[in-house]
Amino acid sequence: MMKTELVIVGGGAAGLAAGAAAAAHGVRTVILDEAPVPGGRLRGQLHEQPGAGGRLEWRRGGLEADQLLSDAKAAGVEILSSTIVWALSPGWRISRVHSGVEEQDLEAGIVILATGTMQRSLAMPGWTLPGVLAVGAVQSMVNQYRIRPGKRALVIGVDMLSLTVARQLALAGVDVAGVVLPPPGDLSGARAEPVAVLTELLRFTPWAPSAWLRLGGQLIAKGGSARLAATVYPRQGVRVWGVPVFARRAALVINGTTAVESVLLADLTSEGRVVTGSERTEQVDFVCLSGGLSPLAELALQAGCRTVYMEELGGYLPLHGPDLQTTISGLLVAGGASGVEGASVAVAQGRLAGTKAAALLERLPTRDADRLLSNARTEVEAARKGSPLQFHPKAAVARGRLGAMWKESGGTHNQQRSNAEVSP
Amino acid sequence: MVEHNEWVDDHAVLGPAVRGREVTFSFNGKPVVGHDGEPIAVALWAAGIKAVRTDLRSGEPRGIYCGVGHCYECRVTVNGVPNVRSCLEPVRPGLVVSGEESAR
Repeated sequence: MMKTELVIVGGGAAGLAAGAAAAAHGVRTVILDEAPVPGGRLRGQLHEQPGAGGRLEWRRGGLEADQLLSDAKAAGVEILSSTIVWALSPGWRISRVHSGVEEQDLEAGIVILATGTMQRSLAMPGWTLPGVLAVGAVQSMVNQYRIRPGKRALVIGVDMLSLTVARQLALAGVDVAGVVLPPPGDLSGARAEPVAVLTELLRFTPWAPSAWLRLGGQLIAKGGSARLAATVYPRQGVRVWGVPVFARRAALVINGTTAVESVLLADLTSEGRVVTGSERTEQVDFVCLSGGLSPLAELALQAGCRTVYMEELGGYLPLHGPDLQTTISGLLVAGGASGVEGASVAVAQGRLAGTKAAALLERLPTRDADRLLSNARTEVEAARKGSPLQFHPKAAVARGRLGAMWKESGGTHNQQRSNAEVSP
Repeated sequence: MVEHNEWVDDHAVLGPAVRGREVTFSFNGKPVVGHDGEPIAVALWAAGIKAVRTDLRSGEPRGIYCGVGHCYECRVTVNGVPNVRSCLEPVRPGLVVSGEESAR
């Protein structure tokens, strides 16, 4: 069996940063990545974020991914691409498939899961038609491969990520008909309720990219209600980065025979019911669906980690401590797999997990170990504070709750399997 | 008539696009030209082909959906190997890609 000291599953923002940090302390590190080229979802990202001095700066994910990749390589990390990890057995023993062919298991003392996130599906009539793309597909097509998916788009699902993607489409010269809600009903749940959607959106007040949203946010900060905001929401939509956003309009059906041709839209009451007679058809040649993101951590479940449900961080995630250790010794988690927070936080978490791995392998100089770990933890907090474009405005609150749950749980166990504790 | 989708050759923030050399492969028996570094599904989309597969059970056309290797909606047969995710698999010269599913 091929042996190494540290295996990192996932070569995105968190995984590459973790590899560089661990290898810098002399840890023999292998990154296993599913894609043919490392960089993960970071490669499709493009957004503005306040930089030093508070001025808005463009964050180009492709360039950042190139930098992280060259840092990891320079530190001596071995990266195995087109490699799927399908099992994690105590030991650790890592079972993998390379380009469809099973390869010899890897053995490692420590594993960092940096598997990122998955896109939640948003099932609705017509969503299996060719031309219906999830946000991730749109981001890579437009920003990474530089192909315009079509001439005219409709974005379904109103959240910070979908607004960012709508802006990316506009930047690439696509005519965006609008950003609307998914159809009311059980499958969409709160994502189709104007009040719930506005409650989330208006929390981004200080940085809201629209005068109306800033105003609405101030209203709510002064004790106003999202219900009121939903009642007065303009029927013609609110322009965000030049794209009309309709918090009281829903897509009911995506139409087409062999590909997307149009979408049936309807206005909603502020309670989220379809206004009779308001239906009309919008001609578009593709649709972007945004159902939100969830941590992708199946390997943590397989290993028997205790998981917790945190809506603010995207759903089920492995319970973890301040140094990103899970409830099972020798298994760490970093980036989207530990909770959906964005690339800057993922990079800082990667560095923390990589430093922690080096500490567990006794590679940190004894007198420096505490300081190095403490600095890495501080960097994660700084990244959080410096990321106004958080996926969930209450992520920080959830992080606090997670910390308390970690303390109650008694932390890391030595035994590597305790499936009885796994949540559904 | 197949209408080609446009490339974003110039971009206000990202600047000019850098594309790999041309790569010719076949899809359902017809030649398609993609570029080095592009996944099969992206090269097909750029060539105006959105439906990469006919679903075995429903007979419906299916295309790339999640774009990141999770959903398997874009699975195709590549050089005889079934269930290859065309959103991840890079184009290579002479690849034989088929969107006809077979019961196995």
